[in-house]
Amino acid sequence: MKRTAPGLAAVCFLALASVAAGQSPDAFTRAEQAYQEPDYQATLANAEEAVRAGNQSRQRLVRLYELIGLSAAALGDAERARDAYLRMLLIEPSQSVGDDVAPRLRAPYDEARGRRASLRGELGVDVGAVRDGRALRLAIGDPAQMAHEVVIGVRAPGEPAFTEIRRPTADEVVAPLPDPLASGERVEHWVRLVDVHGNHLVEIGSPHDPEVLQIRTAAAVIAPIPGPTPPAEPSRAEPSRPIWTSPWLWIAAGVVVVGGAIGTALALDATTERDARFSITF
Amino acid sequence: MRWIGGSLATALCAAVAGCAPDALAIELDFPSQETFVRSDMASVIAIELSAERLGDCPELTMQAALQTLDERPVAGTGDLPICDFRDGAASLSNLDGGEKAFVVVVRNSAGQALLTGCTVRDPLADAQGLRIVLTTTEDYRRLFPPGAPPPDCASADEKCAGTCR
Repeated sequence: MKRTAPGLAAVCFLALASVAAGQSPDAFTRAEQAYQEPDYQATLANAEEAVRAGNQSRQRLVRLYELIGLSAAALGDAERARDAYLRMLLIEPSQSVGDDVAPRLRAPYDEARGRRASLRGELGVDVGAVRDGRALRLAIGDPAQMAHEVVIGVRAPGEPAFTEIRRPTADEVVAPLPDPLASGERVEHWVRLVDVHGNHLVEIGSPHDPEVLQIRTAAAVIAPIPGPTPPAEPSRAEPSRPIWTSPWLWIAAGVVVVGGAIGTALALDATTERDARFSITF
Repeated sequence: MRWIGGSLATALCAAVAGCAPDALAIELDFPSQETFVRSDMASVIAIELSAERLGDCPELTMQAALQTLDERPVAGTGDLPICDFRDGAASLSNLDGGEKAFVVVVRNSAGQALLTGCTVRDPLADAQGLRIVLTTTEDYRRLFPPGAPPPDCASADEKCAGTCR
C-alpha cells in the first residue's frame, strides 16, 4: 500500500519481464501497476479479476486482497474493503496496512480486525496420520468458510512424483493413502487449502520442499519371556535346595510374565471396548 | 499351586483392568448458544469405516440428516433431547477399535436437521477425546435467516431448566 521505490521497482520488473516474455501483464501485475499510478478503479478491477482467475499463491492472494481493500476504501466502498481486509487477515493474520495509510483507507481495516477477532478459530490445516498408516487426517480450520477444497500431494521418500488427492473441505478430512504405510515409514506431503477459484489459502510444504510425516502405529508388542525353560517333568524338590532352583518358581514366573504379556497385547491390540460420554461447547 | 493360579489371575486382571480405557470424551461444538437453544433433539451414531471409506464423512452426514442411511451403525445414542448431551445423560456404549465415523445430526421439534457434524476416529487409539464441530444446514439458514427474531431462550441454561421454549 505504500508506493515506495522498491515497490515501483518490483512492478517495473514484473511488467518488463512480461514484455520480455512476449506476454501482456497478468491481472495481478496490472493491479500493482494501477495502484502505483494510482488508479483505484483499475486496481480494484484488476485485483478482483486476478482473484477470479484463480491459482494465485498464498502470498499473492494476500496482496490482492490488500489491493482490493485499499482501492475499495479509496473509492468509498467500505463494505467491500472490510470484506477484502477480513479475507486478507484470515489468510495472513500478521498482515497490516501500515500506520501511514490515510484514516479513510484504514478504517475498514480496523473494522475487519474487529470482525476477525470475533470469529472463532484460525484458517489452517493440521496434518496427522490415522492409525495403521492408511490415510492422512487433516483438521481444517476455516472460520469464515472461505475454503472449497483441500489438495494433498503424497509420495514415499525417493518416489519421483506425488500422488495428488483432492477432497471437498470439511472440519476434518481423511485422505486414504495410495499405499498404506507401515509403522516407522515416512510420507512426504504437501497440502493446499484452496478457495472456489483455486487460490491458495493455506500452503504447507511444496512439491520442491515437502513436509515429512512419520507413521506411528499402535502395534501389539509381545514381551519376551525371560528365565530358563522349566523342565517338562518337575522333579521332587529337596528341602535343602535354594528356592531359585525350584522349577515351580520358574513356572510361576513364566505364567506371570505370559499373563502380563497377553494382557498388554490385548490392551494394545485394541480388542477392548470403550464407552463415550458427551458434552457441549459453544 | 493355588498361589500360581492366583498370580495368573492377578496378572491378567491387572493387565486388562488396569489398562481399561476411560470413557471417550466427545465434545459437540455448536457454532453459538443461539443454535443450541433453537435445537431440540440430537443423535450420534458411530459407523465402522474400512480403509476405502475413510473420506465418507460428507456422504454419511447427508444420509443421516435425510434419514436415508442404509447401513447399521455399530453404536448410537438414539434421538435424545439436546439437553441430555449437555448434562452428561447421553452416551455411546461398547465402542471397539478401528476407525469409525461419528456422525451427529441435531434437529428441531419438527424433525428438520438444523446442524450436522462428522469426524473420524479410532476410539481406542486416541487417548484424548474428540471434538465434533457442528455446522448449520440449509434448513437452519432458511428457517433463521440473518435478522430472524432471537429465540425465546436466552441461554442453554434457561433452555435446559425448562423455563423457556
